[in-house]
Amino acid sequence: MGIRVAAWVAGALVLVTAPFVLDPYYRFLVTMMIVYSVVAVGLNLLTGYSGQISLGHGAFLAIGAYTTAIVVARFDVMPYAPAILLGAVVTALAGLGLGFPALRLSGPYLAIVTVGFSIAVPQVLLKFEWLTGGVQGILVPTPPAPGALARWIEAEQWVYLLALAPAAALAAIAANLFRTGAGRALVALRDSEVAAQSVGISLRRYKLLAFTLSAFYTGLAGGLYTLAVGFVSPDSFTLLTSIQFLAMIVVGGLGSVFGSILGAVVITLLPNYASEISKAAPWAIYGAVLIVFMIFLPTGLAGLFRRLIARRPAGARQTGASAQTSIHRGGVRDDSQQPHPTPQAAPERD
Amino acid sequence: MTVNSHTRPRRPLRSAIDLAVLGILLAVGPAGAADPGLTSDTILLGSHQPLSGPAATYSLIPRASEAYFKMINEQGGVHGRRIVYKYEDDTYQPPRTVEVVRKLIERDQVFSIFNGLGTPTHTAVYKYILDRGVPDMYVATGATKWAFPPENGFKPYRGLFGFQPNYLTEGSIFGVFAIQRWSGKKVAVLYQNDDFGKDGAEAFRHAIEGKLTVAADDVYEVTAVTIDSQLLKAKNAGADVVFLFAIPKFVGMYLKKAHEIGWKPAFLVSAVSNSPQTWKLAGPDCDPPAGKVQCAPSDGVFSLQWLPSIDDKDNPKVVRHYEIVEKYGSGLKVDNITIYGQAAAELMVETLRRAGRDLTRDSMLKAAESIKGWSDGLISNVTMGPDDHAPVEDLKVVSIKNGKIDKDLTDWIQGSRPKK
Amino acid sequence: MLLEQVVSGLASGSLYGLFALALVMIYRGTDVVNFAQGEMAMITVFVALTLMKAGLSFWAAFGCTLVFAALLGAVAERFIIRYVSQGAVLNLVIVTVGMFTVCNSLAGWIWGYIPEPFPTPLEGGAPLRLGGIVVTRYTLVILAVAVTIMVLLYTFFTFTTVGIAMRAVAQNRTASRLMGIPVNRMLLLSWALSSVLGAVAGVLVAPLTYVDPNAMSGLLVYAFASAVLGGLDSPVGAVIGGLLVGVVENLAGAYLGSELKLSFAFALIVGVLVIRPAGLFGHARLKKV
Repeated sequence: MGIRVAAWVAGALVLVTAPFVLDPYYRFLVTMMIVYSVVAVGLNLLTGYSGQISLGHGAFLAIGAYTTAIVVARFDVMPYAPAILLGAVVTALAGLGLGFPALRLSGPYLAIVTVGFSIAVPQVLLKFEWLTGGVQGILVPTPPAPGALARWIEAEQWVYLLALAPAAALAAIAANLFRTGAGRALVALRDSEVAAQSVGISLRRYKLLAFTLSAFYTGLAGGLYTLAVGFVSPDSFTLLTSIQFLAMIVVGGLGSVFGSILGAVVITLLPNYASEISKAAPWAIYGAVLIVFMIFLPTGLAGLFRRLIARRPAGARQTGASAQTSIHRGGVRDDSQQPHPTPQAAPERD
Repeated sequence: MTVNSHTRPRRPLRSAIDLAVLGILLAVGPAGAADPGLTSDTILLGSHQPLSGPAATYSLIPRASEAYFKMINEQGGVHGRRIVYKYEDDTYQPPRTVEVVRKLIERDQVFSIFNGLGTPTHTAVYKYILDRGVPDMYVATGATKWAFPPENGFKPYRGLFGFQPNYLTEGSIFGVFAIQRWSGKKVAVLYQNDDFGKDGAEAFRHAIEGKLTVAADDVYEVTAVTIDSQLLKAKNAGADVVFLFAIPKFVGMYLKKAHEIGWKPAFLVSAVSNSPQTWKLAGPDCDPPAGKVQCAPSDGVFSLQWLPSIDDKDNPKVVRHYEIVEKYGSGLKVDNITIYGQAAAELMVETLRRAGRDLTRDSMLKAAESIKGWSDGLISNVTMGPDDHAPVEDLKVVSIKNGKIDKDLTDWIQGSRPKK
Repeated sequence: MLLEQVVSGLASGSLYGLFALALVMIYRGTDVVNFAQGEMAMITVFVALTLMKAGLSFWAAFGCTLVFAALLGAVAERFIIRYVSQGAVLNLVIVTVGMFTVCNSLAGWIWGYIPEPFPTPLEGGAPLRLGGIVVTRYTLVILAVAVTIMVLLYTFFTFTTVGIAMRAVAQNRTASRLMGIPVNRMLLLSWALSSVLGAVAGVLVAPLTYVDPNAMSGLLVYAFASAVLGGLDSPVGAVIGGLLVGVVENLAGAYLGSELKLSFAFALIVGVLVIRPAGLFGHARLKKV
């Protein structure tokens, strides 16, 4: 127990001091990882915990990012903090809206609805030029640290910290979600909709909750994105973006907040290393890595981590790890199939 | 905004010894105060390019530029310095562009950004590049705002240079041409639903306002599978001339379909698609060897030109381009995109040359602004100045027949500049 | 004008339907939606083009391409999909995404990115004029092929032993094994066949969309939408879904403006799915508690 607390404190210290130590390039990369982690956690809430597939989170990110950009830069009516919150709320409403048609759908049918969303939102952003700046996008200035702090903290360091605070809070909330009744209801729905309903869990209410919550997270991340990148355009949020977020949670580990963060880190770093390995075909490396990950780490990095911890000597606490396993059993399962063996078991070979 | 070539802070001199030491150092040469990205025998240039993903067609541009730089390096480089060209993949996604440009500037410490490609991608980074005092040379898009930034009163930023004739120019020139040739007729517009298409289409519409009727005005997405519906709309509206601000694939589709259904308007095609490849896509009849029937309808296909055509084998510069690509291209194949890449590289090399052996960021910017009427490379009449950061502004209208450029219909026309 | 747009919509819709059939094939046989379907088809088209440039006739190249496609599908199943299919469904989705980018990048590396024309003897000939509307012969060819494949697929899955066995495997592997069905061989066959279907679709579509690594990615989204609209387990649904998407898209473009026509098409699909969650002709999956 003491080790765990120490690990958390050390981790927190590292994160908070990082912007002052890292060079600007890595600092920016880590800021983006923080932003994308929030999206990944949000997506995992929907897909990992609640079993609803989404290929539309790029569009949610866009809505949050654009809302913030519009009120801060285009019309200059709000400072950053409330603007980001506004972005989150607007996106949550969009999530709620998307949740309604999604109520009766699952699997690829749900996926196509989210794909449609992913494609429609940039088109709409492009069309309503008076609001969104159309194809030119919106440039957003980096906010300096407020008042007296500006003497010690550079603008970009400030942005990093501004992103870190809500991200950490949201991650903590998500991690503890399964302790709440709502969280457990979501997991129950994922494991078996029919069984859950038969014990009185309202499918409708919780599915909508999942979409709304997931969208809120992503919308907030959108506001942070605007802060960090300083520019939004319809081209920044394509179907490709949505696919990358899905890759983050699958590589990181479905149903795990820690996994979402790991996944965000890996997928953000991946294009850099892919370019270094192959100038001519970086995407080929990217895809190959995804495939390799899926073959060797089906429960994602979080699953690997859990296995490593579980192998510790008998004196160490094992209950925590295995308790997590039963709830975080990976996957969106099609209910027409037989329940899978636990993911840690070796796959069947004929 | 100033471009700083001195990175060492000035310290107050304390004694005569310091004065003497300083004097010796200054006499020897400001090697210590050199700009990043420069060593005694290399110049490091950086760029962001779509090497994979949906815009990967343009990945040929940096490869062609690289081939040209290799040749220059083999001949001794620029004043004894080799050019190292580091271009990174941003898959045409603005957030990736921000990442890779930061990497180039913060980690790799490039001397200058060169030929950054894509309007949405470059828009995400140009302010950052300016703020860091890094030159941003010859941006690879036709957006008008690089040379004529509206937020700066259309006056150029010191360290930012455009390259190709902007889309505003294209649309305006075509507009004037259309008015002259088809007065009283109907026009249809089809453009790509992004910055490239919208810019040109708007300029065209503005130029013909009041003089020609726009019978149909349509867009297409880059991911579209066919453009038949837009074509039918235009046909049914009775258009006599179709303005196609589109990339080769869609120009080819449009010409082919029109030919198939027997519709013969005139076509005005963006310079971006002025390439033998486009005419090949338009239909088997357009392929020169088999071409017995002209693929273009009788009223013709017209386009704009500022680069020599890869078909122009009589042009010694074109022949030389083939040779360079063959020898230094590592498997590259010639296309009008590779000509573009080499043209940009040529301009960059000339700029560096004029800056002299005493190369600094500042001297390079001054050198660029000093170029007037330069035609040694593939492009003719490159002119810049302190108020003019648009190297190439002249275009001429050409007609296309049987898959080749047929005639120059106009002389070089000076490009348009945005007015306040 | 309306009729013309409808006919044109049917023409593009048959393209979508063709690819949707390949998606239905793989889904019915393996319960997987293959995001790399379009890219694999694109590679087979490049192979066909290369063979034709090397001197083979269209039909000889086509034949060789089909063989290549079958091998490509089989290799993908045996060496990639097989190792992932025991995990979460999403893992498979990500794997097919990975295959997508690998195929796309490799094709660009091997053949380059400049679009090339794809000659075919099926094109050409004077277009038909039916009551003022021009219809090219090729459109009819594509429609005919789509309908033929649709009928073949339907027959295959409903009446043949192999087809029924494949469906069993997709639904419940353990039970299939217990019934003596060689599951792995069925999976291999499913992938090989759907790759072949993709190749047929690709070769038919290529003259219209030209050949380049990115030619099929836009088409994939349409195909996916069409398949889902029609019902992912119904070949008839795939074709009808495709035709519907094509027509709606065209009409939306003609009367509501081209900028949002794709959004309208998706709005339609969502509308249909709300009423019929398994698509127009699909069958709702029975949920086990």
